[in-house]
Amino acid sequence: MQAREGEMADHMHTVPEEALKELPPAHKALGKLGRALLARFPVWPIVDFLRNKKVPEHRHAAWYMMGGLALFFFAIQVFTGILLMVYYRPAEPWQSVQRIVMEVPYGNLMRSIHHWSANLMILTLFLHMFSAYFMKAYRAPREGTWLVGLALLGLCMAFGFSGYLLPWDDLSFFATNVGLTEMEKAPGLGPWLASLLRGGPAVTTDTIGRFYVLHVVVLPLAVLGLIGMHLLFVQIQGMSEPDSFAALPACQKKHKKFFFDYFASEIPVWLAAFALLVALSAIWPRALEAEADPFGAAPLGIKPEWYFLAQYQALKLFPGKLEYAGMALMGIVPLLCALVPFFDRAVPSDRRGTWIERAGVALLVGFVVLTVWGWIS
Amino acid sequence: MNYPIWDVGGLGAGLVVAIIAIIHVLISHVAVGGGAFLVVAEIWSRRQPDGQRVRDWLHTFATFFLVYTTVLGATTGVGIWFSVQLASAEAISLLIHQFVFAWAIEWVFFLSELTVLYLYYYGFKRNTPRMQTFLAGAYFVIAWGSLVVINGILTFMLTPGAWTIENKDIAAGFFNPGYFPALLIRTVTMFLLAGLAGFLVASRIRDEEFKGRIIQFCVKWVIPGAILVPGLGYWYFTTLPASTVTILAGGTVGVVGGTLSALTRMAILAGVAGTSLVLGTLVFAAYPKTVNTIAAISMLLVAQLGIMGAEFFREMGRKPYVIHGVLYSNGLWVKDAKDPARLNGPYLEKAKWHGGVASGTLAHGEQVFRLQCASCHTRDGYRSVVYRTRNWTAGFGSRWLGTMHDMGVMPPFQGDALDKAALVAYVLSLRGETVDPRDLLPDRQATAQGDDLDPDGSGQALPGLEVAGAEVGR
Amino acid sequence: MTDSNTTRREGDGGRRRFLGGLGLLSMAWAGGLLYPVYRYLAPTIPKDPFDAEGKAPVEGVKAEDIAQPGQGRNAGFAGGGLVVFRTPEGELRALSSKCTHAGCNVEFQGGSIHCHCHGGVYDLEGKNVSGPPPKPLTRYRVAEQGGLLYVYRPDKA
Repeated sequence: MQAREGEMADHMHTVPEEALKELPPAHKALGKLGRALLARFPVWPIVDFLRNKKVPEHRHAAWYMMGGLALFFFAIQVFTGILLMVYYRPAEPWQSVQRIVMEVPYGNLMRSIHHWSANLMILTLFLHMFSAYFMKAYRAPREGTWLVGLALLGLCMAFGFSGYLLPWDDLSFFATNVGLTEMEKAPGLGPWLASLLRGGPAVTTDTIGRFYVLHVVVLPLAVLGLIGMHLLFVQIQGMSEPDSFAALPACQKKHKKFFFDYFASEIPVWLAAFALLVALSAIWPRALEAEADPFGAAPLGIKPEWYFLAQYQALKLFPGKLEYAGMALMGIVPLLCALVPFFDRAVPSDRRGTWIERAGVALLVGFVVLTVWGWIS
Repeated sequence: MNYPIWDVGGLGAGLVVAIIAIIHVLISHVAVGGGAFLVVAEIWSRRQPDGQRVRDWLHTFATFFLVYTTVLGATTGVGIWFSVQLASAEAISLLIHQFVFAWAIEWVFFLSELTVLYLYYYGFKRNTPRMQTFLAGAYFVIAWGSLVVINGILTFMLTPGAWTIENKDIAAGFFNPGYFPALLIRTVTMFLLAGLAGFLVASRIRDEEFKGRIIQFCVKWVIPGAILVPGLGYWYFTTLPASTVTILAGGTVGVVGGTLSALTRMAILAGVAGTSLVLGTLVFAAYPKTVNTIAAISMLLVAQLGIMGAEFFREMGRKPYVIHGVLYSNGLWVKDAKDPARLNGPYLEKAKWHGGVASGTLAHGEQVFRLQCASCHTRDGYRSVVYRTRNWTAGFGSRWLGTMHDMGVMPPFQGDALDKAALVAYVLSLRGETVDPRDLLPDRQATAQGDDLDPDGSGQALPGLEVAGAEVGR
Repeated sequence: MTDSNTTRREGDGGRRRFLGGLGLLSMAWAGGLLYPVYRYLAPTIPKDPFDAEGKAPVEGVKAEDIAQPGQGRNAGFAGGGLVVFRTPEGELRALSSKCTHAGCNVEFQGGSIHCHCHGGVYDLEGKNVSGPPPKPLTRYRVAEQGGLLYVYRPDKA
């Protein structure tokens, strides 16, 4: 008993005086609760860290919101995804999705939000990646954050690819078929990986089992872990400052407190993002096509989702034997992106920085042009 | 069928009108509400210790206001005229013939509005505050007057009320059942939007104390509207014709996906937009100094999304008409549709702008498509015909065209069997199938193979023709 | 609405109250959003198992399976489980098979009906005669039609 009290006293000791001063008066319920909690869980340094978290204020600061926005959409994905899992049955995929869409109250809304939020999440991730690239946020010491971020983008695209099959309608069946066939053509691990994902020589309901587990267990665990790392890195290293801001003398650098000044200015953006999501889902709910018929003809005008269109169009540009060149390009671009932090020596006057900027512009323009081209052709 | 048709590739004329219109709605309502905002702010400034500073800020607001309303407002306004008359000349012709005087008044209001706005704007340095208040007040009254006028014409299209094509009772058509709810909605909305525009202009103020006061002033403009508009929307809904309510609330094939009626979707969107505006505005009230351009634009975006949803579902409810109960969306007058000889006679003889195509050819089919489908549908873009007919067989289409009006959202088809066959052949050709229209005529079809998709010939048994939530952007 | 003047006058107290109100409003907002979620998850009311005549087919047993007195089977219909049997006198009967004590399925044992979970015993009328069951089993009127069995909606009275 004595020893326990001594331990408690030790913990009490770790809470600094000013922490208690910040709380409401000791006789009020909130103050009592706060003191009791702090005594048991002396997390004051974390609270204190967050209270002092600052965000640089400059004209490119709006881009800092993209990461938070992507996280917001991811949270909505987790939430609506859990709800969809309540009624989804991998053994009767199309029938269960049809039930969600046609019978379950608000099921159509949940599915549409899940669909639109996925698209908006990937769009924000692209914006987040390109803004980090052009603000040179990848440079030392933030190489790790950049690499984890690239991995997150890749995993989210895998999320999209695996989720697309699950409704088992005409579109999803053939999109998966095409995607896996392309993967199969890749030299080396391609055929092996494709057949492992497919679970056999053809896309069947067996493939659904694999994609389902990927989509609801493997990928969420991996993404949650990586998001944790990504956020932890950002907290430890602080927000990256663009060159123009970093070059300012210390007295001219303006910062905003994260809580609640910066946070308060983010709330309207989140509200708008949510309203956009609801508007898209209400006005253009996601349709469910006819059930997949593995022996039927592919539906008219079938195309992959927009975030795969650039790759799809690029592969079309390399017909026949040249297809390998196209695939090599698919592999080289992400690899180069991953290598950028080790190539850029972080000296503002260095010529390499300029080259990296130009390469980034070329990549962005190429991506947009190929996507639009794929869309209209 | 008396006018040529505007064929806008993958977008469709309707979408072009919609895009221009929702921007114009936002700007025009800011233009009217902003007038009231200027009057109240002028009066408020005289009670402030630093009144001149407030008036200086009002000058900034007025600059923004003048540029946005006169440049974007006027260009989108003209854009609406250009696009709607091309999209549905028949309807605009009727509206002009009925409401020419109202439109003349509106035009006078518009000119006076601009004149007074310029007098106000260039009088900041010269006029007394009292004079400026008077000018702002005059501007507001005139601008609101133009809303009072145009609102009659706009609401007429969905709720013509006691107006009929025989009695042509202009007063009944103008002060139609939807007039007053819509007027109130627009009036409340314009105050809301004026407050949101105020946030945007105030977000650039550097002095935090002053910025805080201006933000608090704007907050009071936003909150009432954000709370009232969804409720007033319900009042407007109760004035709608029964067929519109059926389309919005009921289970019409193709419009409604399962349990989620258009009405529910509209209510959810209105609720989310309204509450998001209230919450965002309260955050602004609590942390006025954190209001930045992005946050202010976000709130305007929420309002824009609300407007977009309201317009979208109102347009959906107007199906299958352009002017409810009077003119169908394919340019067919309801009175003509009641005459079977006129409805089912050869179409090319009645249509004036078919380019002299030979009967029974694919070109014939294309003209039927342009004149009867293209005001709502595109070939393979927005509201794609190729997508909607993806399960059609050659024999099915003609029968479906004969019964599509029974679905509730499609107008009756005008024309005889050959017109139908030509249209079906054209639609099939869009996905690469070659069919001779003459082979699709009923007498040839009778000897051809049976149609497994529609065994009873009702035209209603097509699986997957319009699946859940097919009001998709394809 | 708390405006700037009161905020300044009351200082932190007013601001804190305002923020508290804002928090409450946000919670109300989230509550509104959760309504569709609740409706999504809430089970739909099951369809009435009886048709317009108040009749429902029995699944899992045919008339021939229990043709002899003393034969019985566990069966069911759309509205729940049944125990269907012939009394030693040869009368056809159907009782709800859900024990009124803890909801286990009971078993017909010739002269009586037993529940294995906690040793409850009912007689062939469905009356609870021994053990923990607090109430008798619901009895359904049962009829044979063309070799199939049907139960009828129990009378309210």
